[in-house]
Amino acid sequence: MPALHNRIALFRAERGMSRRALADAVGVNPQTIGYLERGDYAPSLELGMKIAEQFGAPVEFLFSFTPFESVAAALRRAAD
Amino acid sequence: MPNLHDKLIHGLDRASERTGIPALARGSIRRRHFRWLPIVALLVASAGLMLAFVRTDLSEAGFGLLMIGFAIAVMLPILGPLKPWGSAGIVDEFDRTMRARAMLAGFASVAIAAMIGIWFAMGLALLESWPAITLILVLRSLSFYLLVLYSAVPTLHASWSTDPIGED
Repeated sequence: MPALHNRIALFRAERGMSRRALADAVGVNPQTIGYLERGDYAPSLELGMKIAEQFGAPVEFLFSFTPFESVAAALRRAAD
Repeated sequence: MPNLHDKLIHGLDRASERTGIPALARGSIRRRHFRWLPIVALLVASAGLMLAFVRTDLSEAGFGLLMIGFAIAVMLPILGPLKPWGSAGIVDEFDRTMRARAMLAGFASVAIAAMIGIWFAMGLALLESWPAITLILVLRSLSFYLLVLYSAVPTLHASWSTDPIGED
């Protein structure tokens, strides 16, 4: 099964949201958000969609089977 | 100013909180990863079981060792990372997945140990012409060993399959 990459930590940092706040909003434990961010656990479709809804973004913005471009690389590309 | 009655009641409340039982009932107990304690419990219990099987004259000493392992093992589901069925706190999909995998590992270990243990006991009983009481004592040790496996292996599996997450 391919690894599922995610940008939960990035979205959370952008909004200044704690793990606990996101966990409370989607109905899981804060540790579960930590395991998701670390890539130790692939969420169910329901949890993935709940997290995406919480950030107001399409689910493919948060989860991908291919690694996401780093913020630094995206900024460099935007500057070119 | 609180009177003696209030002080006594608050003192009793604090004393009961220190036992950890109210936190356990609320589901707010701090669960920890135990990576080495289940191994200690299993090693001690295994040594006790081997003693009970191999030296039937030291069967009680073997059972005593097994009981030490059992006493450690029964604490692991209470304090370990797995949330039990009917737990008071939030049990989310990650908890359920981790519990399912760990319990499967536990059940598999119990099934394999039971299969090997029963045939091993029967074989030794036939070869060495054990009296009935010796066979009963060995089977008593084996049944408690299976309980040690049931308690310790799921905690061991869960503790090694995930790394603890700190506060952010």
